Amino acid sequence: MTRASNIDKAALFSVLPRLRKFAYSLTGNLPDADDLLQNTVERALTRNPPQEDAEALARWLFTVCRNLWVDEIRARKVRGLDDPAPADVEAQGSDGEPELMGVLQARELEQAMQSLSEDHRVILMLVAVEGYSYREAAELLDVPVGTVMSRLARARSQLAESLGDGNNSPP
Amino acid sequence: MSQRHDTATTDEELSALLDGELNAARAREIKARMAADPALARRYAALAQADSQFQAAARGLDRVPLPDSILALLDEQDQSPPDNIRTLQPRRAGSWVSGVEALPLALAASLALVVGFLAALLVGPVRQDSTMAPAGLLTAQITPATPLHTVLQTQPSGTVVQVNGMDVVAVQTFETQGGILCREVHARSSQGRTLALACREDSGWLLRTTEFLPSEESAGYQTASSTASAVAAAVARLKQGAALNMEAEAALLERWSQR
Repeated sequence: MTRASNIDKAALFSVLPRLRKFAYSLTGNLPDADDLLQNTVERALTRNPPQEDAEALARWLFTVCRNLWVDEIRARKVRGLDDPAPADVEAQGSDGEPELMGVLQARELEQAMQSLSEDHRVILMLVAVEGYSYREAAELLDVPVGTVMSRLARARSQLAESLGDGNNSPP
Repeated sequence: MSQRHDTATTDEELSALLDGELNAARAREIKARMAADPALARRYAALAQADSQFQAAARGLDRVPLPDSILALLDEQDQSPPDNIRTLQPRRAGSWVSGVEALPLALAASLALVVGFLAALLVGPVRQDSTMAPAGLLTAQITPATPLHTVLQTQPSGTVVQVNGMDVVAVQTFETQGGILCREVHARSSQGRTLALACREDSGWLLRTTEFLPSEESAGYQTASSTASAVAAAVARLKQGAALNMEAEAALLERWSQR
């Protein structure tokens, strides 16, 4: 059942941090993100993703990751479980003591993430963090460029408000 | 700002300006407007601030160690029988994936540095190993004539050799229950130590486990399970009896050198 692909594991390693952030933007919490990341990696190990360069591999992984998440959301709805799993950042300290710095920063991330919808998290991750152009992001998400533009504006606006900066505007 | 009736449009344009997605003429126009309109400039600053907060938060994710189960998937080597490798069961209640059980031989370390070590010392293309891993597990074949191969094949334990700026030393040679000979090798660089466990199969030397232990000075690398060494655990699990003594090891190296 496990058919080994000829994937370059080192290349896959190097994309993991990016893929994890993207998974996080989809799920909005770390436990689900890591489950999704694991599923995506498993998929990559049994398929033959493009490997001509890191970017091609990354985009393939992002697409697979997103599709897996869409499937999962659908399945959760069928099961009547469409509320996301509660975020339990402390559980991330693996088997040892939790890594304090990581936990703190994850909380910060959690906070920022929770004020945003999935669409908004994902678009910010792709454009503001990954640096994709609007056109590239539109292709990845299979939406019009105009949608990318309006989502980004709303995402930033919402985040600005939740961070308190939005209140600085004069009435 | 919600009072401004053109907020949506303006936010979109400010946002696009932030991303460098406006054409030059429009970008100039908006910058000129911002110079004259402090509220608009504040709005732009607020959106930019939101952006950088998000970016900082996203970067924070890099400091949370990856789960061992994911590292294990990308680990080149593991010796568990195939049936134990893909035990499909939920990783925790409510988990939505069929998780792969965390394997004991996870790379518990900075991946980049391990990869760097591999690049410096060894390894041919990762291939499917049919002798030890019929279920399609990947192991790293150590190609003959690479530095690590030479160390494994010729250097007595305890003899330090220099390889690409690293001090490399075989630490011990031992036999597994199945009669396979394995060697533990350490490489030290300014950044820390890399530990490796390699076993000599019919097909040649296979890298079973590697891990990187950062030196005290090179902070920032957090291992997933910093208390236990994955290589030490693998050795403890595989090793049958004591390590070979110097004489037995010398005889072995002699024999290998004749082939």
